[in-house]
Parts: sequence; structure tokens; C-alpha cells
Amino acid sequence: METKEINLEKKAIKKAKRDRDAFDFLYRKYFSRINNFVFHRVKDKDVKDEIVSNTFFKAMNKIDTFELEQYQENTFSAWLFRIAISEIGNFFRTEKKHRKVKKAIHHNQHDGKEINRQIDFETVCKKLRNLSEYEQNLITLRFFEKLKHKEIANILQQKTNTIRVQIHRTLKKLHKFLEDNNYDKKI
Amino acid sequence: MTKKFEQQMENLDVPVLENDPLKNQLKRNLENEFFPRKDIYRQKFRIAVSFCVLFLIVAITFWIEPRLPTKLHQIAFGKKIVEKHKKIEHAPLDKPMLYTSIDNPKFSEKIIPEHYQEDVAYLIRHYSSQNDNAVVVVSKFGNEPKKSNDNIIY
Repeated sequence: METKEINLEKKAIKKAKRDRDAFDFLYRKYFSRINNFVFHRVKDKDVKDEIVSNTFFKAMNKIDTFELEQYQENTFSAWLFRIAISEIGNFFRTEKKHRKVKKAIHHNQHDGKEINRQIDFETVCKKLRNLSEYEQNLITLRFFEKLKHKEIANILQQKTNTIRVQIHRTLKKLHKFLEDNNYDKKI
Repeated sequence: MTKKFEQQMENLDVPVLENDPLKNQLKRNLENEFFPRKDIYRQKFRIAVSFCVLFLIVAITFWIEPRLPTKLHQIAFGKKIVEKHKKIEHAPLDKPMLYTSIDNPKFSEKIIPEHYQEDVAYLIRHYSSQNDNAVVVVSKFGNEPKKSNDNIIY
């Protein structure tokens, strides 16, 4: 991101609660990223809609408290991702508590226009559920959202090297789960 | 094996949600929550009132001090506007009338001082035609108006 763009974003963040245009600018910029991330994590359209809505409502409510000092590239997106992760965590905790089995909407039930399906992705998604919430976030951010290690480090508030190691370990784990499912034959 | 797997994961074709109806729906909800219409009208009304007050202040200032626009013009453009009408200093009413004389070379040859009485005010009117023919009318002040002899019958 260029300095000009960062300054533009900073101004928009400052004005977002009062200025409709500033809000619109941020919303258009980040909606798709958050929407896709939540969708890849929960795989349920209704739940995804609820979590994305909560994420943006919370973000708008708390945008006044957002620290603009020492603002760097991806700081705001990292903040939004953190809210989304927290909301996803809340959802999974509540789901565990109530033992409610949500009716999952599979990817192949969506319109062809909206989703570009891949069976490999489906297999990975299934096995991903065996990992911890944190590990699922790592894999989703790195391989589904295609974020760089540095961006993930910003979101999860860790060092870049730590994230690199964690991703490596999680990948090993995921690979093992897939091997158990004879996935290794494909690899 | 892990490296190969990592590469496969990096090249994974991930489905992407496009044209999600939630985008517009959520945007509307957020706008209704944080930018209600009522607030917009209130804000516009406030702006309109502010402009009215500002305009009123400016109008009153110009009314109280009419030379202010000229001064502002001078400050802004650095040009001096030649005043067409200079301020006339009137003699105070409680003091005796001061005599004034105008030495107009145009009339000095045509008006003979002997024809006019001393301490009497005259009004000189100069009319000129398109052919440069001119008439000078001299009226004497202090003549009592003629009383009308007409009897008014109601």
C-alpha cells in the first residue's frame, strides 16, 4: 500500500462514524475479504452472514477507539480480521455449549456463479475441523485468504517467524489427518 | 512430503464468494444504524441555518459600515476605488451661514457682477442643447411667492 493510500485510509477511519462516504470507502474495501474469510471458516451461509454482520457492527461501534498513531500498512484490515476471528470463536463456543448441529450448506449448493468449486478444497475443509480454532485460523488465513506471513502476524499479534513455525507445524498436522484419509495417494 | 503438500495448499483453488447479496443488505443495515435519514436532514438544516446567520451578520455589517465592501475590495485586489462623491462638510445649523463663492471661468465673462445684489443668493442653472447652444437661467432667492387670488368655491 502506498503512503497516499495509507493516509486516505487513515482519514476515512477518522471520519467513518460521521461521514457516509468514508464509511462506504472502508466497507467496499474490506467487505469481500472479511466475508470470504468467515465463509471459509464456518462454511455455513447463515452463520457466515451473522458473523460478518456482527463483525462490521462491532467495528463501526468501536472505530472511535481504533489507534491511528503508528498506523501502518494492513493495520486496519488486521483489526477487522481480529474482530471476525473473535466472532467466529464466540460462535464455535456457543455451538459447543448448546450442542446444536447446524445445518451446513455445502459449497455445491450455491450458484455456480458465486462459487468456484474444488474437491481438494472440500477435503481440506473437512479435515481442517480436526484442528484447533487457532490452527484453523492459521490455515485459512495463509492458504484460503492467501495472506502473507507478516499480515497473519499482524492479525494474530505474533512475530512473523513464530507464525511461520506455527503454520509449518499445523501443515504437518493437517497432512497427517489427510494421510489417514488416504489423501497421500493424491499427493 | 510436507514441502510438496505446502505447495499444493498454496495452489489450492479456493472458492470465492462474489456478488454476495449480504453486501448490499448489510450496508443498508449499517447505514440505517449509523447514518439515519433523520440525522442527515437535521445536519442539512443546521448547515442552512448557519449560512443564513452568516449572511445576516454580513448584511448587518455592511448596513452599519457601508464603506466596508470598498475597503475589503482594496485589501483583496489592492486597487483604489476613486470615490465619485466626496463627503460634503455641512456647516452646523446653529452657526451663521457661511458665504461661498465659485469662480467659474465659464460664467465670469457672461455674468456681470453689477447686475446682482449683494448678500442675495442666486441659483444659476445652465442648460445646453445638442448644438452647443446654451442658456443660463439665474434665479434670485428670497422672492416671496405670489399669493393666488383665485377664490376656491367648494
